[in-house]
This record gives sequence, structure tokens and C-alpha cells, in this order.
Amino acid sequence: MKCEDIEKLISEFIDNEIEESLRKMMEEHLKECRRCLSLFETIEKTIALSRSIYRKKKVPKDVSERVYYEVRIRFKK
Amino acid sequence: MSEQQLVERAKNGDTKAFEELMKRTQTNIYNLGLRLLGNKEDAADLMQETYIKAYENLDRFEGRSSFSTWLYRIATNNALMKLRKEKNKKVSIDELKKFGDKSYKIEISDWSENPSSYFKSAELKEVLQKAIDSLPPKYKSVFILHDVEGLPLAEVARILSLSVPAVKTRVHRSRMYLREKISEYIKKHGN
Repeated sequence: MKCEDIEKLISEFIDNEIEESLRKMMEEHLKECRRCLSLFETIEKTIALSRSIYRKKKVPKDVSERVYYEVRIRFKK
Repeated sequence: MSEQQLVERAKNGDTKAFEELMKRTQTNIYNLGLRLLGNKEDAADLMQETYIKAYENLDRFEGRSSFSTWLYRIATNNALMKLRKEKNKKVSIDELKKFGDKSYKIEISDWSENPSSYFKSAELKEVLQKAIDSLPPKYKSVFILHDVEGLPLAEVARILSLSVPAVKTRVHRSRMYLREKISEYIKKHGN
């Protein structure tokens, strides 16, 4: 397996969308190739960092009340 | 009461059942709005438009997907319309297509070992936020739904009426692009 194959398949590997035999080949390559391992690890960090900037927020009370009010108007029609 | 039972009741005119569906889903829809559109006002508008549209089209909901997936679909389509009107500069699709092109050599700088405190840097987060906001809407929506919201690829495909391979391609290019932007920042600012 070549580095360019890893580059192409790395996201599917992360998403567990790779069939078992191919997955094993990729894992073998990652054990041997520091460059591809770095690619894998930095993509995982990119995803983790992205998640950390979008922490879940509560719906503000005023927003919730406004939306319920607007939807309830439609109930009456 | 299950979501399906509430939907059936709401379809038969039970407004309390529809309100219960709103109560159960509002946090997800509001946060999806915040993540896609970036501010409280637009997220609130999106939430309102989504529930009004859902209520007015409830008869058309056939239950082939879950009610939550159907709501995500309405919300994402509305958000995409808003995003397409945005004036901020977007990265071109051609720029994103280079990831996967064999002639393009990816520069791999290894920053995976950087101390975790580095990743708490507000400046780095701002760089990443800007990079996500610069993704074209059809990439940003896929990235947010899959990598941030954590929805499975098949569900993202259903929400956006895309094939699973198309979703995979967009997820991959978005990740590669964002990784590159972080690499550029780290290279510029040193380890």
C-alpha cells in the first residue's frame, strides 16, 4: 500500500467505513510510516478541535418563547 | 410517549403533541442553526422557520425517516439558502478538489504531539472557525452535520439528498482543507 492510497482513504478509515482486510493493510502501513501516521493523527485533532469550538448551548428563554408564540399563532388558523 | 406516537397525534390536530415534539428537538435545531449560521439571531430565525414549516407540512411527513431527521432536513435546507447569500469569501471548489488529486503533494507537518494547551489557544480556534466559515455551503453543511453534530454518513446523505459517496468526498476534502489551515497557522507561529 502506498502513501497516496492512505491519503485517499484516510477519512473512510477514521469513519470506520473500510472493509476489514483493507483496514488491516492500512494499519500495517501506519505502523511503518511516520508521515501517514501524522496525517491520521492531525486529521483526528482537526475534528476534535472543530467539535470543541461548537459546544452545545441551551436555547435562550426569550428565543424559545418567541418561537412557541409564532408556532401557536399557526395552531389557531 | 414515542416520537412516532406524538407525530400521529400532532397530525390529528393535537397541538400539545406538536409542542412536545418541539420541546424534545429544540436544542438540536437551535444548535444546528448556531453552528451553520454563526449567530443567535439567525439561529433563532432558523428555529422558528423550521417549526412553522414542519407544522404546515406535517401531513406530508410519511415517516420514512425519523421526525428528527426530517426536521434536520428542513432546517439544513433553510440554512443553505441563507448561507448561499453570504458575502464572505469562500474557498473555491477547485481548491478543495486538489485533495484527492494524485498530482497534489500534501505537506504533512506533524503537530499531533503539540501540548494540549496549544489547542486551547483562542487564536487557533478563531483561525479554524474562519476556515470552517469559508467552506462553500455544500461542504460546510456536510462537515457540521457529520463531524460536529456526529450524524452518521447515511443520515447526512438523507438530510441533504446526496449519495453516501458524495458525502464521504465532501467530508474528506473539508477535513483535509481544515487540517491544512491549522498546519499553516502552526508553521507560521512555531511549535
